[in-house]
Amino acid sequence: MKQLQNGIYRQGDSVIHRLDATVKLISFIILCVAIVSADSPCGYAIIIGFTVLIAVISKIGIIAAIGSIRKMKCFFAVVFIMNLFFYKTDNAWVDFWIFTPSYDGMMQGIKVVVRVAVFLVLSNILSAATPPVSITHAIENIISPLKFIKIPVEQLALILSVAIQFIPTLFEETDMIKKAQTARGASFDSRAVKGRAAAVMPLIVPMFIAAFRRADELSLAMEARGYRVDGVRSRKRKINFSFFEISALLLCTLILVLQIILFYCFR
Amino acid sequence: MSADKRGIGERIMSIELKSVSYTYDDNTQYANPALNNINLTISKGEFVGIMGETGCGKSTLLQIIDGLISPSEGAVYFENCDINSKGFDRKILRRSIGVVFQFPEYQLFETTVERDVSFGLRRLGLKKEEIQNRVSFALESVGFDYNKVKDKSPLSFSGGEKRRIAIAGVLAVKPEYLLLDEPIAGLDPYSRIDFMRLLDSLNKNGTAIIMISHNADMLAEYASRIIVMKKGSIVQDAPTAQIFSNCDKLKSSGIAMGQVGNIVHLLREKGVDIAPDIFKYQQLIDGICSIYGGFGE
Repeated sequence: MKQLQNGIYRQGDSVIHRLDATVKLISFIILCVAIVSADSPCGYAIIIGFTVLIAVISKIGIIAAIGSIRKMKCFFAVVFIMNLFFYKTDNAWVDFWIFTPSYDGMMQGIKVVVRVAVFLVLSNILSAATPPVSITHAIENIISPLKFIKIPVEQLALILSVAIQFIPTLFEETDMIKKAQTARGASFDSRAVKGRAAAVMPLIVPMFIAAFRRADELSLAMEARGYRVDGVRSRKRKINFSFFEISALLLCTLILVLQIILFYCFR
Repeated sequence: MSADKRGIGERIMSIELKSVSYTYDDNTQYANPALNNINLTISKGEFVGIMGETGCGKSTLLQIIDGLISPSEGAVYFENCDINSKGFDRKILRRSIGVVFQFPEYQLFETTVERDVSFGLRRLGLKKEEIQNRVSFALESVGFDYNKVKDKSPLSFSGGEKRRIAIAGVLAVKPEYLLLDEPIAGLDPYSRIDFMRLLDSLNKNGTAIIMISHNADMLAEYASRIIVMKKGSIVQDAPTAQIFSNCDKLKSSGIAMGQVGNIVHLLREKGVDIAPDIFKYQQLIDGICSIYGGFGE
């Protein structure tokens, strides 16, 4: 049994779950561009509103979609503070040594934090509503034109697939090792930097060993079951382009176009 | 220690769980109840076996007892103090309760066996000489020659040896309570017996053993009390003899009888008049000898 984590597929029957994975991935990329293009409060409201809507439709729920992003408070605080104090602008409140805190810096900090948070929430929804194998096929479909310049697309897709599928296993293993070392007296909650640094080794070393062991076992198991790097593979499922997929792509493109219009109209 | 003390009186040597429930992914639509209203007291010096089907909450229960996860409802008291109350010093738990997880060999990380086994001791801030004595005691308890192995890398040993080194790391702390999650799974038959004898001797010296296992024979042989779990609840909690005398009830909880139980069952089916409540190897041998007049010396 495991706890709610990022990157784990959650079975469901929502509209988002049923949407073709390739279309979902392309929509995700379009929305990412829209997030970066957002520059006005109205633009941010649209993208945040749309993200919340997707979370609700997907039936994953806001709490699950936010997932462990809540634990990244410190990261967001650092990003905000860096922007607040180091953003180069002419109208800084004070100019002291290398620090130039300003209103522009503060706004830039908020923008970056919101962008990263929305991006992470969307990627959480994508991985929660799409089986890892489908994500791999989607990536393979998207990068398949690279075959013409002799890039081993299938192998890259397989490596990605394995990496994605083993995220939950590695999370579980890390959690178990963390608990075992805690039971032996390691303190991962220590507030002191020295204490935290000392707690890293008991976690990192067994994690790496476990990851290498898994990789070794998996490669042997694949070989034993007849996997060959140069083998010709056919696909069980083709891309499903129905009215529904086209609507989803159009909707995401509309959001992007809106962001671009807002960007140029309200500069 | 400013922990939540319930009443004034003698220090009660026990671990007590009061109405403990635990739900994974609580308050989300993926909520997955793992433990349901567990009431349990484990006193110092007991040898308790925990049995149950896979996924019935045994490992979760172990983690709750050691305070590695906090119960969703209810409370856990260690010697009368609520371990999840704010003022409770977790170091007391780490010193008093040792935990051997499934596949403990995967937690090894130090450069030498000595450093790995002494990891917990160094966290407790013991003196160098005391640490060395305890490491030597722990390694020899699990069948190693301290001087031969202390400077070797723990990762250079075989799987079974690594497990013994990891267990030595837990024993070195000399815990009053030792929690073990499937410690003999994957060990060869001789190592299994050796390991159970080690637990038995620790228990005779006063350490309480709480062991999860699917191996009914080993628990029947060594445990004095068995807890049977099913779907997150305790369905039976009784002395070992009582548990193994009711074969049908055990089967209804999804637990297979051990070899001894099966042999007794087969003998009775063939019409041999042997007592149905036999659950230990020695009892089985004595029972057969008494029927057939012994096999000589």
